[in-house]
Amino acid sequence: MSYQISLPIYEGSLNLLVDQVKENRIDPLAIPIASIIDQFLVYLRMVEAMSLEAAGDFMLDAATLIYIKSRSLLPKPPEEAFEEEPEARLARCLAEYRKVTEVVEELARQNILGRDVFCRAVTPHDGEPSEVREADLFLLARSFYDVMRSLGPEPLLELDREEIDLDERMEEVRRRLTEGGGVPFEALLVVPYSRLHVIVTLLALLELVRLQDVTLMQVEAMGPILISLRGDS
Amino acid sequence: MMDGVELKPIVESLLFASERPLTIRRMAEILDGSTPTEVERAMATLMDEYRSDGRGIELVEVAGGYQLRTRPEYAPWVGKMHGDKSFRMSRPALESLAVIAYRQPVTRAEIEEIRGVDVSGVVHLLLDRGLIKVRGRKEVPGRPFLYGTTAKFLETFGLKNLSELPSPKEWQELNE
Repeated sequence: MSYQISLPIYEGSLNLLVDQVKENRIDPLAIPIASIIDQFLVYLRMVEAMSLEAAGDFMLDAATLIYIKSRSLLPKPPEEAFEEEPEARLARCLAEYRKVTEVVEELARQNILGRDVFCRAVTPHDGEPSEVREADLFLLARSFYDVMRSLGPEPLLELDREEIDLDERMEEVRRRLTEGGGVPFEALLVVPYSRLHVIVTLLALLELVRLQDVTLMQVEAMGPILISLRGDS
Repeated sequence: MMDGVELKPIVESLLFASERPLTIRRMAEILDGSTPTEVERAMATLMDEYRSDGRGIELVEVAGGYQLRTRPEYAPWVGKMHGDKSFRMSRPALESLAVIAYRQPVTRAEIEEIRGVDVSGVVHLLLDRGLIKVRGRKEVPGRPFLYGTTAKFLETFGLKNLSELPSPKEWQELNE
Protein backbone atom coordinates (compact mmCIF):
# COMPACT_ATOMS: atom_id res chain seq x y z
CA MET A 1 0.00 0.00 0.00
CA SER A 2 1.49 3.28 -1.07
CA TYR A 3 1.90 6.21 1.25
CA GLN A 4 -1.02 8.63 1.25
CA ILE A 5 -0.46 12.37 1.15
CA SER A 6 -2.68 15.40 1.27
CA LEU A 7 -1.74 18.55 -0.62
CA PRO A 8 -3.77 21.57 -1.73
CA ILE A 9 -3.70 20.30 -5.31
CA TYR A 10 -3.63 16.61 -4.73
CA GLU A 11 -4.99 13.99 -2.46
CA GLY A 12 -3.97 10.35 -2.70
CA SER A 13 -1.02 8.04 -2.90
CA LEU A 14 2.45 9.46 -3.45
CA ASN A 15 3.07 6.78 -6.03
CA LEU A 16 0.15 7.95 -8.11
CA LEU A 17 1.30 11.56 -7.78
CA VAL A 18 4.63 10.68 -9.32
CA ASP A 19 2.86 9.01 -12.22
CA GLN A 20 0.66 12.07 -12.72
CA VAL A 21 3.64 14.38 -12.76
CA LYS A 22 5.48 12.12 -15.18
CA GLU A 23 2.53 12.23 -17.52
CA ASN A 24 2.46 16.03 -17.29
CA ARG A 25 -0.96 16.04 -15.70
CA ILE A 26 0.31 17.90 -12.65
CA ASP A 27 2.82 20.74 -12.79
CA PRO A 28 5.86 19.70 -10.73
CA LEU A 29 6.42 23.34 -9.75
CA ALA A 30 3.07 23.32 -7.93
CA ILE A 31 4.09 20.54 -5.58
CA PRO A 32 5.50 21.58 -2.23
CA ILE A 33 8.19 18.95 -1.66
CA ALA A 34 8.80 20.23 1.87
CA SER A 35 5.21 19.60 2.79
CA ILE A 36 5.41 16.03 1.49
CA ILE A 37 8.49 15.42 3.61
CA ASP A 38 6.80 16.95 6.66
CA GLN A 39 3.80 14.70 6.23
CA PHE A 40 6.04 11.71 5.85
CA LEU A 41 7.91 12.51 9.05
CA VAL A 42 4.64 12.77 10.93
CA TYR A 43 3.56 9.48 9.44
CA LEU A 44 6.88 7.94 10.44
CA ARG A 45 6.38 8.94 14.04
CA MET A 46 2.88 7.55 14.05
CA VAL A 47 3.76 4.19 12.63
CA GLU A 48 6.09 2.65 15.15
CA ALA A 49 7.34 -0.27 13.18
CA MET A 50 7.87 1.17 9.75
CA SER A 51 8.87 -1.51 7.32
CA LEU A 52 12.02 -0.93 5.31
CA GLU A 53 10.16 -1.68 2.12
CA ALA A 54 7.57 1.05 2.68
CA ALA A 55 10.28 3.55 3.59
CA GLY A 56 12.23 2.56 0.48
CA ASP A 57 9.18 3.08 -1.71
CA PHE A 58 8.65 6.48 -0.22
CA MET A 59 12.26 7.45 -0.75
CA LEU A 60 12.08 6.43 -4.38
CA ASP A 61 8.86 8.33 -5.03
CA ALA A 62 9.98 11.43 -3.14
CA ALA A 63 13.37 11.38 -4.86
CA THR A 64 11.73 11.09 -8.28
CA LEU A 65 9.52 14.06 -7.49
CA ILE A 66 12.41 16.13 -6.24
CA TYR A 67 14.37 15.23 -9.37
CA ILE A 68 11.55 16.22 -11.69
CA LYS A 69 10.90 19.42 -9.81
CA SER A 70 14.56 20.43 -9.61
CA ARG A 71 14.92 19.85 -13.33
CA SER A 72 11.99 22.07 -14.11
CA LEU A 73 13.40 24.76 -11.83
CA LEU A 74 16.73 24.83 -13.69
CA PRO A 75 17.07 27.26 -16.57
CA LYS A 76 16.67 25.55 -19.93
CA PRO A 77 19.94 25.15 -21.83
CA PRO A 78 20.01 27.30 -24.97
CA GLU A 79 18.34 25.29 -27.74
CA GLU A 80 19.38 21.69 -28.28
CA ALA A 81 23.05 22.47 -27.57
CA PHE A 82 23.21 19.88 -24.81
CA GLU A 83 20.16 17.70 -24.99
CA GLU A 84 20.80 16.20 -28.40
CA GLU A 85 18.79 13.06 -29.07
CA PRO A 86 21.02 9.97 -29.17
CA GLU A 87 19.70 9.03 -32.62
CA ALA A 88 20.33 12.50 -34.02
CA ARG A 89 23.77 12.47 -32.48
CA LEU A 90 24.61 9.12 -33.99
CA ALA A 91 23.31 10.24 -37.38
CA ARG A 92 25.38 13.40 -37.18
CA CYS A 93 28.52 11.46 -36.23
CA LEU A 94 27.96 9.03 -39.07
CA ALA A 95 27.44 11.86 -41.53
CA GLU A 96 30.61 13.50 -40.31
CA TYR A 97 32.49 10.26 -40.52
CA ARG A 98 31.38 9.81 -44.12
CA LYS A 99 32.77 13.26 -44.87
CA VAL A 100 35.98 12.28 -43.15
CA THR A 101 36.43 9.29 -45.41
CA GLU A 102 35.84 11.47 -48.47
CA VAL A 103 38.33 14.00 -47.25
CA VAL A 104 40.85 11.28 -46.53
CA GLU A 105 40.66 10.20 -50.17
CA GLU A 106 41.23 13.80 -51.18
CA LEU A 107 44.15 14.23 -48.82
CA ALA A 108 45.73 11.00 -50.03
CA ARG A 109 45.45 12.27 -53.61
CA GLN A 110 47.45 15.40 -52.81
CA ASN A 111 51.07 15.56 -53.87
CA ILE A 112 52.45 14.46 -50.56
CA LEU A 113 55.88 15.62 -49.51
CA GLY A 114 58.14 12.61 -49.13
CA ARG A 115 55.94 10.47 -51.38
CA ASP A 116 55.14 12.34 -54.59
CA VAL A 117 57.30 15.38 -54.25
CA PHE A 118 60.55 15.89 -52.41
CA CYS A 119 62.42 18.82 -51.10
CA ARG A 120 65.90 19.05 -49.74
CA ALA A 121 66.89 17.44 -46.43
CA VAL A 122 63.47 16.08 -45.69
CA THR A 123 64.61 12.50 -45.81
CA PRO A 124 67.56 11.29 -43.77
CA HIS A 125 70.97 10.98 -45.31
CA ASP A 126 72.15 7.56 -46.33
CA GLY A 127 73.34 5.23 -43.64
CA GLU A 128 72.58 7.65 -40.91
CA PRO A 129 69.53 6.74 -38.87
CA SER A 130 68.79 10.35 -38.04
CA GLU A 131 66.20 11.23 -35.47
CA VAL A 132 66.80 8.20 -33.33
CA ARG A 133 64.57 8.76 -30.38
CA GLU A 134 64.23 7.19 -27.00
CA ALA A 135 61.72 4.40 -27.41
CA ASP A 136 58.46 4.83 -25.60
CA LEU A 137 57.35 2.67 -22.75
CA PHE A 138 54.01 1.71 -24.23
CA LEU A 139 55.55 0.36 -27.37
CA LEU A 140 57.95 -1.64 -25.24
CA ALA A 141 55.03 -3.05 -23.29
CA ARG A 142 53.16 -3.83 -26.46
CA SER A 143 56.13 -5.54 -28.08
CA PHE A 144 56.44 -7.64 -24.98
CA TYR A 145 52.77 -8.49 -25.10
CA ASP A 146 53.05 -9.45 -28.77
CA VAL A 147 55.91 -11.80 -28.03
CA MET A 148 54.01 -13.36 -25.13
CA ARG A 149 50.98 -13.86 -27.33
CA SER A 150 53.02 -15.34 -30.15
CA LEU A 151 54.17 -18.01 -27.75
CA GLY A 152 50.64 -19.34 -27.50
CA PRO A 153 49.28 -21.19 -24.51
CA GLU A 154 51.66 -22.85 -22.17
CA PRO A 155 51.98 -26.58 -22.88
CA LEU A 156 49.99 -28.58 -20.41
CA LEU A 157 52.69 -31.07 -19.63
CA GLU A 158 55.26 -29.38 -17.52
CA LEU A 159 57.68 -31.16 -15.32
CA ASP A 160 60.10 -29.15 -13.27
CA ARG A 161 59.88 -25.41 -13.27
CA GLU A 162 63.12 -24.31 -14.81
CA GLU A 163 65.31 -22.01 -12.85
CA ILE A 164 66.23 -18.90 -14.77
CA ASP A 165 68.74 -16.64 -13.21
CA LEU A 166 68.28 -12.90 -13.76
CA ASP A 167 72.02 -12.17 -13.66
CA GLU A 168 72.62 -14.92 -16.18
CA ARG A 169 70.05 -13.46 -18.52
CA MET A 170 71.56 -10.00 -18.11
CA GLU A 171 74.94 -11.39 -19.09
CA GLU A 172 73.39 -13.17 -22.05
CA VAL A 173 71.68 -9.98 -23.23
CA ARG A 174 74.95 -8.06 -22.86
CA ARG A 175 76.77 -10.75 -24.83
CA ARG A 176 74.21 -10.62 -27.65
CA LEU A 177 74.50 -6.85 -27.82
CA THR A 178 78.30 -6.79 -27.99
CA GLU A 179 78.03 -8.80 -31.19
CA GLY A 180 76.46 -5.74 -32.78
CA GLY A 181 74.25 -2.88 -31.66
CA GLY A 182 70.72 -2.22 -32.75
CA VAL A 183 69.28 -5.64 -31.99
CA PRO A 184 65.49 -5.50 -32.42
CA PHE A 185 63.57 -6.06 -29.22
CA GLU A 186 61.66 -8.99 -30.67
CA ALA A 187 64.84 -10.70 -31.84
CA LEU A 188 66.07 -10.70 -28.28
CA LEU A 189 62.91 -12.24 -26.90
CA VAL A 190 61.62 -14.46 -29.67
CA VAL A 191 63.28 -17.70 -28.83
CA PRO A 192 61.92 -21.18 -28.54
CA TYR A 193 61.86 -20.74 -24.82
CA SER A 194 59.15 -20.70 -22.24
CA ARG A 195 57.10 -17.77 -21.02
CA LEU A 196 59.14 -17.57 -17.89
CA HIS A 197 62.28 -17.28 -19.97
CA VAL A 198 60.83 -14.39 -21.95
CA ILE A 199 59.65 -12.65 -18.79
CA VAL A 200 63.01 -12.96 -17.10
CA THR A 201 64.69 -11.68 -20.26
CA LEU A 202 62.46 -8.61 -20.21
CA LEU A 203 63.29 -8.06 -16.54
CA ALA A 204 66.97 -8.44 -17.37
CA LEU A 205 66.60 -5.90 -20.14
CA LEU A 206 64.78 -3.43 -17.88
CA GLU A 207 67.46 -3.89 -15.25
CA LEU A 208 70.14 -3.13 -17.86
CA VAL A 209 68.22 -0.01 -18.85
CA ARG A 210 68.06 0.99 -15.20
CA LEU A 211 71.77 0.48 -14.81
CA GLN A 212 72.19 2.61 -17.94
CA ASP A 213 74.05 -0.19 -19.67
CA VAL A 214 71.74 -0.28 -22.67
CA THR A 215 69.48 2.10 -24.51
CA LEU A 216 66.22 1.40 -26.28
CA MET A 217 65.71 3.43 -29.41
CA GLN A 218 63.33 3.83 -32.30
CA VAL A 219 64.19 5.19 -35.70
CA GLU A 220 60.60 6.18 -36.31
CA ALA A 221 57.51 6.52 -34.20
CA MET A 222 55.83 3.13 -33.68
CA GLY A 223 58.79 1.54 -35.45
CA PRO A 224 60.68 -1.40 -34.05
CA ILE A 225 62.54 -0.93 -30.78
CA LEU A 226 66.27 -1.30 -31.21
CA ILE A 227 68.47 -2.22 -28.32
CA SER A 228 72.13 -1.35 -28.09
CA LEU A 229 74.79 -1.12 -25.47
CA ARG A 230 75.31 2.39 -24.27
CA GLY A 231 78.39 3.93 -25.79
CA ASP A 232 78.65 1.76 -28.87
CA SER A 233 76.13 3.49 -31.10
CA MET B 1 67.48 49.21 -54.16
CA MET B 2 68.26 46.02 -56.01
CA ASP B 3 66.13 45.39 -59.04
CA GLY B 4 64.39 42.08 -59.83
CA VAL B 5 67.21 40.80 -62.05
CA GLU B 6 69.82 41.01 -59.34
CA LEU B 7 67.52 39.75 -56.63
CA LYS B 8 66.46 36.62 -58.44
CA PRO B 9 69.65 34.51 -58.04
CA ILE B 10 69.84 35.40 -54.35
CA VAL B 11 66.24 34.37 -53.83
CA GLU B 12 66.94 31.15 -55.69
CA SER B 13 69.95 30.38 -53.52
CA LEU B 14 67.95 30.99 -50.35
CA LEU B 15 65.19 28.68 -51.54
CA PHE B 16 67.71 26.02 -52.49
CA ALA B 17 69.46 26.09 -49.14
CA SER B 18 66.35 26.23 -46.97
CA GLU B 19 64.86 23.10 -45.45
CA ARG B 20 61.49 24.70 -44.76
CA PRO B 21 59.25 26.90 -46.89
CA LEU B 22 60.53 30.48 -46.88
CA THR B 23 58.16 33.38 -46.46
CA ILE B 24 58.46 36.55 -48.49
CA ARG B 25 58.84 38.48 -45.27
CA ARG B 26 61.72 36.34 -44.08
CA MET B 27 63.50 36.73 -47.40
CA ALA B 28 63.00 40.48 -47.33
CA GLU B 29 64.56 40.47 -43.85
CA ILE B 30 67.58 38.57 -45.12
CA LEU B 31 67.83 40.68 -48.24
CA ASP B 32 68.30 43.79 -46.19
CA GLY B 33 67.11 46.76 -48.17
CA SER B 34 64.67 44.99 -50.44
CA THR B 35 60.97 45.38 -50.04
CA PRO B 36 58.60 42.40 -49.93
CA THR B 37 57.18 43.59 -53.25
CA GLU B 38 60.61 43.37 -54.88
CA VAL B 39 61.15 39.90 -53.47
CA GLU B 40 57.74 38.86 -54.67
CA ARG B 41 58.51 40.08 -58.16
CA ALA B 42 61.80 38.16 -58.23
CA MET B 43 59.92 35.11 -56.97
CA ALA B 44 57.36 35.38 -59.76
CA THR B 45 60.11 35.52 -62.42
CA LEU B 46 61.80 32.53 -60.85
CA MET B 47 58.54 30.61 -60.68
CA ASP B 48 57.97 31.19 -64.41
CA GLU B 49 61.44 29.91 -65.20
CA TYR B 50 60.91 26.74 -63.22
CA ARG B 51 57.56 26.28 -64.90
CA SER B 52 59.20 25.92 -68.31
CA ASP B 53 59.75 22.49 -69.82
CA GLY B 54 62.66 20.26 -69.06
CA ARG B 55 62.95 21.06 -65.36
CA GLY B 56 63.03 18.42 -62.64
CA ILE B 57 62.11 20.79 -59.87
CA GLU B 58 59.47 23.41 -59.42
CA LEU B 59 58.89 26.34 -57.15
CA VAL B 60 55.68 25.99 -55.19
CA GLU B 61 53.77 28.11 -52.73
CA VAL B 62 53.11 26.07 -49.64
CA ALA B 63 52.42 26.55 -45.91
CA GLY B 64 52.53 30.32 -46.21
CA GLY B 65 55.93 30.31 -47.95
CA TYR B 66 57.81 29.10 -51.00
CA GLN B 67 59.73 25.89 -51.51
CA LEU B 68 61.69 24.14 -54.24
CA ARG B 69 60.40 20.63 -54.82
CA THR B 70 60.92 17.81 -57.24
CA ARG B 71 58.11 17.45 -59.73
CA PRO B 72 55.57 14.72 -58.93
CA GLU B 73 56.21 12.94 -62.25
CA TYR B 74 59.76 12.14 -61.12
CA ALA B 75 58.66 10.64 -57.80
CA PRO B 76 59.42 7.04 -58.88
CA TRP B 77 63.12 7.80 -59.24
CA VAL B 78 63.53 10.10 -56.25
CA GLY B 79 61.54 7.63 -54.19
CA LYS B 80 63.81 4.83 -55.33
CA MET B 81 66.84 6.83 -54.29
CA HIS B 82 65.38 7.37 -50.84
CA GLY B 83 64.60 3.67 -50.59
CA ASP B 84 62.29 2.65 -47.80
CA LYS B 85 62.08 6.07 -46.21
CA SER B 86 59.20 7.51 -48.18
CA PHE B 87 56.10 8.95 -46.57
CA ARG B 88 53.65 6.44 -45.24
CA MET B 89 50.60 6.86 -43.08
CA SER B 90 47.97 4.41 -41.95
CA ARG B 91 44.33 4.93 -42.76
CA PRO B 92 43.30 5.47 -39.10
CA ALA B 93 46.02 8.10 -38.68
CA LEU B 94 44.93 9.84 -41.86
CA GLU B 95 41.30 9.83 -40.72
CA SER B 96 42.12 11.36 -37.37
CA LEU B 97 44.33 13.91 -39.10
CA ALA B 98 41.45 14.84 -41.39
CA VAL B 99 39.11 15.33 -38.42
CA ILE B 100 41.68 17.48 -36.64
CA ALA B 101 42.32 19.52 -39.80
CA TYR B 102 38.65 20.42 -40.22
CA ARG B 103 37.55 20.57 -36.64
CA GLN B 104 40.48 22.31 -35.05
CA PRO B 105 40.88 23.07 -32.29
CA VAL B 106 39.44 19.73 -31.29
CA THR B 107 39.72 17.41 -28.29
CA ARG B 108 40.55 13.74 -28.42
CA ALA B 109 37.04 12.89 -27.23
CA GLU B 110 35.56 14.85 -30.12
CA ILE B 111 37.70 12.96 -32.63
CA GLU B 112 36.68 9.72 -31.00
CA GLU B 113 33.03 10.68 -31.23
CA ILE B 114 33.32 10.98 -34.99
CA ARG B 115 35.63 8.06 -35.62
CA GLY B 116 33.99 5.80 -33.06
CA VAL B 117 37.27 4.32 -31.83
CA ASP B 118 40.01 5.15 -29.37
CA VAL B 119 42.47 7.52 -31.02
CA SER B 120 45.08 8.07 -28.29
CA GLY B 121 47.67 6.03 -30.22
CA VAL B 122 47.27 7.86 -33.51
CA VAL B 123 47.13 11.24 -31.79
CA HIS B 124 50.52 10.52 -30.24
CA LEU B 125 51.83 9.38 -33.59
CA LEU B 126 50.64 12.57 -35.28
CA LEU B 127 52.18 14.64 -32.49
CA ASP B 128 55.44 12.74 -32.90
CA ARG B 129 55.47 13.39 -36.61
CA GLY B 130 54.89 17.08 -36.02
CA LEU B 131 51.70 17.16 -38.06
CA ILE B 132 49.57 18.30 -35.13
CA LYS B 133 50.24 20.18 -31.94
CA VAL B 134 48.51 21.02 -28.68
CA ARG B 135 46.74 24.31 -29.09
CA GLY B 136 45.57 24.73 -25.52
CA ARG B 137 42.94 23.22 -23.28
CA LYS B 138 39.21 23.18 -23.55
CA GLU B 139 37.47 24.81 -20.59
CA VAL B 140 35.24 21.86 -19.79
CA PRO B 141 35.53 19.35 -16.94
CA GLY B 142 38.90 17.61 -17.16
CA ARG B 143 40.34 20.47 -19.24
CA PRO B 144 41.30 18.19 -22.15
CA PHE B 145 43.95 19.21 -24.67
CA LEU B 146 42.87 20.86 -27.88
CA TYR B 147 44.70 19.78 -31.01
CA GLY B 148 45.33 21.59 -34.26
CA THR B 149 47.43 21.10 -37.35
CA THR B 150 50.92 22.55 -37.84
CA ALA B 151 52.73 24.28 -40.67
CA LYS B 152 54.37 20.93 -41.31
CA PHE B 153 50.94 19.49 -42.01
CA LEU B 154 50.36 22.13 -44.72
CA GLU B 155 53.84 21.50 -46.07
CA THR B 156 53.37 17.74 -46.15
CA PHE B 157 50.07 17.91 -47.98
CA GLY B 158 51.14 20.73 -50.27
CA LEU B 159 48.59 23.27 -49.02
CA LYS B 160 49.11 27.01 -49.01
CA ASN B 161 46.89 27.41 -45.97
CA LEU B 162 44.01 25.72 -44.18
CA SER B 163 41.39 27.18 -46.50
CA GLU B 164 42.89 25.03 -49.25
CA LEU B 165 41.78 21.84 -47.56
CA PRO B 166 39.84 19.66 -50.00
CA SER B 167 36.05 20.07 -50.20
CA PRO B 168 35.53 22.13 -47.07
CA LYS B 169 32.16 23.32 -48.35
CA GLU B 170 30.24 20.26 -47.27
CA TRP B 171 31.85 20.52 -43.88
CA GLN B 172 30.71 24.04 -43.39
CA GLU B 173 27.18 23.02 -44.32
CA LEU B 174 27.41 20.30 -41.74
CA ASN B 175 28.43 22.82 -39.11
CA GLU B 176 25.47 25.06 -39.64
